[in-house]
Amino acid sequence: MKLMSRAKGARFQTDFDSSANTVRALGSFLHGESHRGMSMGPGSPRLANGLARLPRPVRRRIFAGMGYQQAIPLDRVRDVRIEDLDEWVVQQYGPGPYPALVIGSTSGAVVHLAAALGAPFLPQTQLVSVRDTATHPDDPRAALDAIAPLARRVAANNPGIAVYHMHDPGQDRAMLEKMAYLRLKRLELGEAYERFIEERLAPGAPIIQVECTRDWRTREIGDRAYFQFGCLGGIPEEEYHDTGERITEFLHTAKSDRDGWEPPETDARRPEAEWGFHPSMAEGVRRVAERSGHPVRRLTFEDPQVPSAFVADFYRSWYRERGMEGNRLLVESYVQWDPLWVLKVGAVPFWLRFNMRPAQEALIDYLEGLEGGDRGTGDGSEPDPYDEIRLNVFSQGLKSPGLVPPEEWRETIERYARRKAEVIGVDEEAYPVDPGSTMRFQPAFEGIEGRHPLPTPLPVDAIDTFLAEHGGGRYGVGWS
Amino acid sequence: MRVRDSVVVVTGASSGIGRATALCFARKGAAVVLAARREEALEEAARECEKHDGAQTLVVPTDVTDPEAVDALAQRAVERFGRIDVWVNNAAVTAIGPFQEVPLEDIRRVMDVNVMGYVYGARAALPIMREQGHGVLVNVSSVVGVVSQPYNQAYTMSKFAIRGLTSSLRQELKIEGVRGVHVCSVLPATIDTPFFDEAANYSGRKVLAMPPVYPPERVARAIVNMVRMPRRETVVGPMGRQMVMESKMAPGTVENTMGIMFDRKHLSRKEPAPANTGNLYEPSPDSGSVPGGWHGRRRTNVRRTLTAVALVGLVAGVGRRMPLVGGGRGNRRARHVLPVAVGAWKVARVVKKRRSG
Repeated sequence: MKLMSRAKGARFQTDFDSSANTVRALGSFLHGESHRGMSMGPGSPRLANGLARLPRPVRRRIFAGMGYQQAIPLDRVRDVRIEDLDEWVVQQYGPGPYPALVIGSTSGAVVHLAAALGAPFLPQTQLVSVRDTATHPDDPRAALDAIAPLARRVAANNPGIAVYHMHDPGQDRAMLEKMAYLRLKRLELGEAYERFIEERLAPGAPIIQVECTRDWRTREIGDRAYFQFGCLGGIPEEEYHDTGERITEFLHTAKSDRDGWEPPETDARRPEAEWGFHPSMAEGVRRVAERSGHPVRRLTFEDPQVPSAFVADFYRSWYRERGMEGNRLLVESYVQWDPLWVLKVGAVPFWLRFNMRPAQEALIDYLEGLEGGDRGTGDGSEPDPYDEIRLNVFSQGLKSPGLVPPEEWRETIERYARRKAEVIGVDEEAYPVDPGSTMRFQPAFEGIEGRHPLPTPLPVDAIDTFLAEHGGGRYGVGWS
Repeated sequence: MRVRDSVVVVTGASSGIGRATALCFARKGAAVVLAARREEALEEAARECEKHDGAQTLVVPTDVTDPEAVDALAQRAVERFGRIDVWVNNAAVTAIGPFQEVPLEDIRRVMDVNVMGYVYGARAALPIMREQGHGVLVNVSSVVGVVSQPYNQAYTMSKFAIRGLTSSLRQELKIEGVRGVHVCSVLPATIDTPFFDEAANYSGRKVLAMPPVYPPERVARAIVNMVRMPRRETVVGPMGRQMVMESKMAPGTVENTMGIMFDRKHLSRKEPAPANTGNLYEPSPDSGSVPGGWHGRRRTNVRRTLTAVALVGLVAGVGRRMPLVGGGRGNRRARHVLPVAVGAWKVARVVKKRRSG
């Protein structure tokens, strides 16, 4: 039964989802393996280069085709059960006992934080994509109407979750041509997660509940079913609902027959579909933790991008305590992360939510802060820039509004790196329509010279010590 | 019964099977009374009928769920043509979706149109026919009236009910010794009509025409033939006939097969659809049409050609006791069986393409 459940869970997972990749990357890491090819496909630059040589329209279709393959046929929607997805999640990890557990909202920074603590991660939100070849990506009202019966059905079949139909023709356009996103956000802990806490944690191991407080305007389409238009990326929330010239221009470039978006009216702000934390689950975590004797710690932030600076400095400080220089920065984006090789090459990880302007601004803010004196934090601290900065960016299959081109990324890191700045694992000509992007990033990380032994995991107290010294407020994170 | 110069009333004549039936009767020289909710579509259908030797037509916009309107339809037909020889109960709607999700009022509406509409039609037509001493009442049921479909509960119930009504009326006429008045049912398989696009749908998936799809003219011809030589029941479409036959021998297997087929082929696996009431309460705004864009005619032709080619190949191969490819030593004709068959298929394809424009 469990095997069937896991197989179903694996089929219902969407391979490029941030939560699925957090689980896969940490599962691999805790088994001593890399996140090569997103822990499932080949990590072959040669194959990736072959794909990049195909004509652009063909590459574009490959993206849409990959989306279609990921999505489940509509007759399987009635079979979607959060329990199957949970079985798949817990199956990614070993028997333990683990010294800590991270649970809740995902973020690339959280991946590295969990890796430093030797902790597995249990996501609150998971993505199930469904086939949709009929809806125009630029017609959010039609998308809502078409998917609402299915979203309501999934919610009805799974009493412990909220279902968000997320529709973002700006960032996810290539995928939306043939599929629709249903994000399942659990409101209860669920049996598989409870069992995991009870059976696979070391006695007294702390549970870190990650809470991203980002919300978004949404519309209720049924009991525990919501529609969210747009998502965190290069387009501000306001612009999705009040489209201007920039969107019109984008739509014309994307060869759409629409001049703008006319999303349906919204009725409330709710936790953001992909990253936001729904507080309903906290009660279950508290109850099971109390019963099993595990203390609960909370890490809170307003946006998944926020903890990147904290985790980067946390790693830097850790490296220095181990006698390393900690002057090598590796900038990752979206799900192209690898907690194993970050440690092996002794790189400080800084995660970008995506390849868009707001992510670039966050990176600049961080690097600017290291310049010291008036230029940096303004507190007169000593400058502490990185000697080497390497950057890798994800390809999402189209030039979305707010996309930062590779040359600009290079300029950014060149401005702050003292010795070496390099964009790695990116085919700049094919970017951002590079279907081999996920095959290229990890070999590029492996190509960074220098090897370090894997450290023993840090105790959770190390976060206390670090934040007591540096202050969580400085990073915009709450820790309690 | 002679079709030429007969008076035929057809309900649901604005599109699909009803419209094809009206056209077919007009072509055979009958006077046609067209009834449905959409006046504009009926007028257009009537104009099409009149193209055939100036066939006489009468358009009577009618909602078959209104018994008075159905009575009025019969009265108008008698006033205009003096009698009713044939009454075709055909108007039908459906509501597709999981049982708990289809609103009760929609289920009721389907029963009102598909069952009570036929009841009102029969009550209006039979007294006139009995008085005349002749007439044929044709109730269009469906293969679904024999083999049920999942997610299509109301429609399935209604089509079973229509067969029951037809049979019961036939018994009644027999017992009462009424001769010359016949009550028949026609059971079409999947027919290429706008019916699927107009269905009320709560399944979340687009409704498709489940293959094999047959042209509506085939049903129309079956109805005309039914009038010429009344029979209890006839099934239209070989697949439908096969299913009905199999359902008598292995009902459980056929029920399961239909369930799977419906889920896989009748509802799209890649095109979602919003919840909607279709044409249950308001007719479609367009002017109606016979085909629904499912290429029933083309599909049927392709199927027939392929079947013919396969049969020719098989017969030739078996007849000569030779392998199909390569042929045997000393038998030159057998070597050409496959290329000739392929050639025939290609020619047939070109001809069909030209025909379908």
